[in-house]
Amino acid sequence: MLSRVVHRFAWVPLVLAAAILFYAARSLPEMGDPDAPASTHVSPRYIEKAYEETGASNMVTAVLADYRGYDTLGETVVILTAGLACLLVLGSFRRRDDVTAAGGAMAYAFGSDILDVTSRLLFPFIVLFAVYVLVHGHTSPGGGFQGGAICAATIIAIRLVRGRASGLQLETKSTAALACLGILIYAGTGFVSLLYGRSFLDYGGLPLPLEGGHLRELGSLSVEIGVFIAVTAVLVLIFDVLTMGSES
Amino acid sequence: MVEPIVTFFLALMTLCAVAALRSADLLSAVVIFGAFSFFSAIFFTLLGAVDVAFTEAAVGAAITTVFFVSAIYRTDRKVK
Repeated sequence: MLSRVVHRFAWVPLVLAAAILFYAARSLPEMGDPDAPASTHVSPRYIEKAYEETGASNMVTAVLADYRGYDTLGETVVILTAGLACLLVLGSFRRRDDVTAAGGAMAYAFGSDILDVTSRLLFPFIVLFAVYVLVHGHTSPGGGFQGGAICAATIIAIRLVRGRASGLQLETKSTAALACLGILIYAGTGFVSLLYGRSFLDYGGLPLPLEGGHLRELGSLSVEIGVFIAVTAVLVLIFDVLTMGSES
Repeated sequence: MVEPIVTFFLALMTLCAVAALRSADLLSAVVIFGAFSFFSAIFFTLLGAVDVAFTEAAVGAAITTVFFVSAIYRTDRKVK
């Protein structure tokens, strides 16, 4: 009864939300408006100073990993939380046999010689590209999130082709630990600069014999590596708990 | 300044979104949703956001599709 009512009137909150959003969107500045506050105050600073201050010619990485390092740390923790929530919720009902059978059919259905040979030829290069995206994020489009997503997609594809035990052969527990390690690398970099008397995540304070931009570049590379590990591990972790119990 | 090809891919995305919503078969909805992600990846490339584009291609078209399919295998394929 209640669900029927919900079904019939589901459009009401949708229309209301759309009306509010459209109303609010009218007072936003025009897209690409050069007089908008973001273009007159924020962007010029990044465009003029980013390379000098952060050593990253790709300004997206400069903003993500350096100027707004706090935001990115928060986002990575959100991803970790999502992965752990999946583990907590899905990890508990893996004992049902019918579910196990269905999951088993899925996890093993894709193995064939063609897929196997293709994946052996292709996947090393995709992983290499993921690492390239990670370490080259300072000068070309890319970074930890992007590289981590590509790396996770590859590991998941390997597990789809050759069963979920393959592909780094990580246990679910160690995948979760790896995700936490990523966050630890990120926050640890912040704490090191804190130890050396600078602000949290101020890479200028890292104890390395480098100057200005180069030092900050290395600092943000370190946090990007943390993001890479965390994103890869969390995505693989979610895949693992979704197909948990399907190992025959 | 909206170029026609950008509008074209936006229209394709909208079409895919509506088709995914209307599909009673969840598995086909997932596949259509993968197509949606693919078109939005092209859309991001056209707008010059290459990094967002290949993240969308990896996460949207590949990983979430796998997640949804395994979720369907654990539950039910039909809309109740």
